[in-house]
Amino acid sequence: MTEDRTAATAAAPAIRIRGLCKAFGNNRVLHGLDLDIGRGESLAVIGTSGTGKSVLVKNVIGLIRPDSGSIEIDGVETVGLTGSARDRVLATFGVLFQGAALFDSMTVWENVAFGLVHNRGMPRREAREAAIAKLAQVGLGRAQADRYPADLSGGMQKRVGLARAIAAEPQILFFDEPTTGLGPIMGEIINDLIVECVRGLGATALTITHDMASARKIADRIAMIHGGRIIWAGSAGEIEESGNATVDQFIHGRTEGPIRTTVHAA
Amino acid sequence: MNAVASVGRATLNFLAATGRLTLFAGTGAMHCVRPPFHFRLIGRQMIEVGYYSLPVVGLTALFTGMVLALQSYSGFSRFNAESAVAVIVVLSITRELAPVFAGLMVAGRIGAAMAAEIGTMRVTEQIDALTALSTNPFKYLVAPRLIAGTLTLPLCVLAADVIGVFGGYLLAVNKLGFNTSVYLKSTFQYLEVLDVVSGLVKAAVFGFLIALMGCYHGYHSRGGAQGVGTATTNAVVSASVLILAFNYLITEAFFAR
Repeated sequence: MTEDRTAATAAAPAIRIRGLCKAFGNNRVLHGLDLDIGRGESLAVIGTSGTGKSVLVKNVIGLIRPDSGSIEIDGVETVGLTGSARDRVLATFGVLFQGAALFDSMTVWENVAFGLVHNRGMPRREAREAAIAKLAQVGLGRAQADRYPADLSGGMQKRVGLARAIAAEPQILFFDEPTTGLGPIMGEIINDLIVECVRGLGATALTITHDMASARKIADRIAMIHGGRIIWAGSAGEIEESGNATVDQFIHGRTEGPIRTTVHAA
Repeated sequence: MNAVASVGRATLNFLAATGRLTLFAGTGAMHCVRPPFHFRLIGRQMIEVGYYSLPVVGLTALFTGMVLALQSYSGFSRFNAESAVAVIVVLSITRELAPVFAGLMVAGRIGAAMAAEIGTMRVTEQIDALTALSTNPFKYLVAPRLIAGTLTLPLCVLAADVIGVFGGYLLAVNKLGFNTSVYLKSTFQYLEVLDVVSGLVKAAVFGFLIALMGCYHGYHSRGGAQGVGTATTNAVVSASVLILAFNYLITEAFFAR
């Protein structure tokens, strides 16, 4: 019930999470979360706010250390990795943060080229051209390259964030609430860009969102997190017939149902 | 019982905070001495800490030197010891006033700026983004600031020494009727290398403390704009208190017989 077994059929999954637990003080956010994401698969994790979607992604990226459990990336255990071993794993990641998290002291192209300059030692001139190519891929022109993030609209910042996430051609992409704070049209544009980028790179993608339209568009498979666990997972087409009351309540946005509060009892 | 419990809780919190700060300082210092170095960032911070602080540090030193000459003259003239004015000015400036005042002014300017910048980066997930781009925030944000603070504040203080003594000289010669050559001669007659060096050592320690407090409070700030505001205040207040405390400790180490 909690796992979808069809995903992990072929090879070792790109991401394999077992028994993940994380608490902040008395607030147990994740307890015993299991999840597999197959290679080249795009999975969306949905759930109400405060259910630990962000905490899940931060654990996988390594921004937070889990209390217990296992996170394997391409078959390699990553919990507890530090230093250059951690850097090697991070080098295969690309992350689009919720607020884009662009470095505001740098220009747009410096943001996009950050990983290329700092990790790969690419000369600045070359990195600038590479960044401009990536910006073109997300629909931004050369003219935007020398502007500062603060001068851009929210949608443009998201595009730059996306360009930065894909700049180093990562194998695994993370999208944290990619459409939050955007209008419906811009949200749709970002969704299209994400699908395009993920397919273009042949990457594995993990998206967390509470926007069902976005989840349906981006993901091959959807998993719902509730009470610190994955309570349902299945292909994006199956979610209407999940037969799960919690899932039904969430996707139809009903106020009555098993989901009572945004934060479950500790 | 409640009073005892709250004392206990406060003690535990204090010890936890001390531990956190010590670990932070240790990690930061380790990244200062271990390559690779981000020379571009270190240079930018040195300009920020040193060059842009010079006007405010210089003005502070100038007026301090002048006030010192005026006050010590009005005091010492009561028992015909006016000749000590030059010595008092140069020793007070180099040993105490230049490093402490420069430290406090730079704490207000730079400590606050560092806490606000790093704090904003924290609450807007920019520090997480750095980590996700496999860049260690200690290496990239903290170490350049610690290095810049430690290396640059002594240079500021050296300038403040000269300007402060010059302030005292200007006032003594122009207002109090001292003879130029006599005043200069007595300025340098009793000045020892240790007087200046102790001031510069203090400056290096203060520079490190200012950058450490700015980075530490910024790095651990949370909760949006208000959190960044609190971090900024804490950075300036804690740096100022630590400067005064370490000033005593270093003075004790250098001059206690």
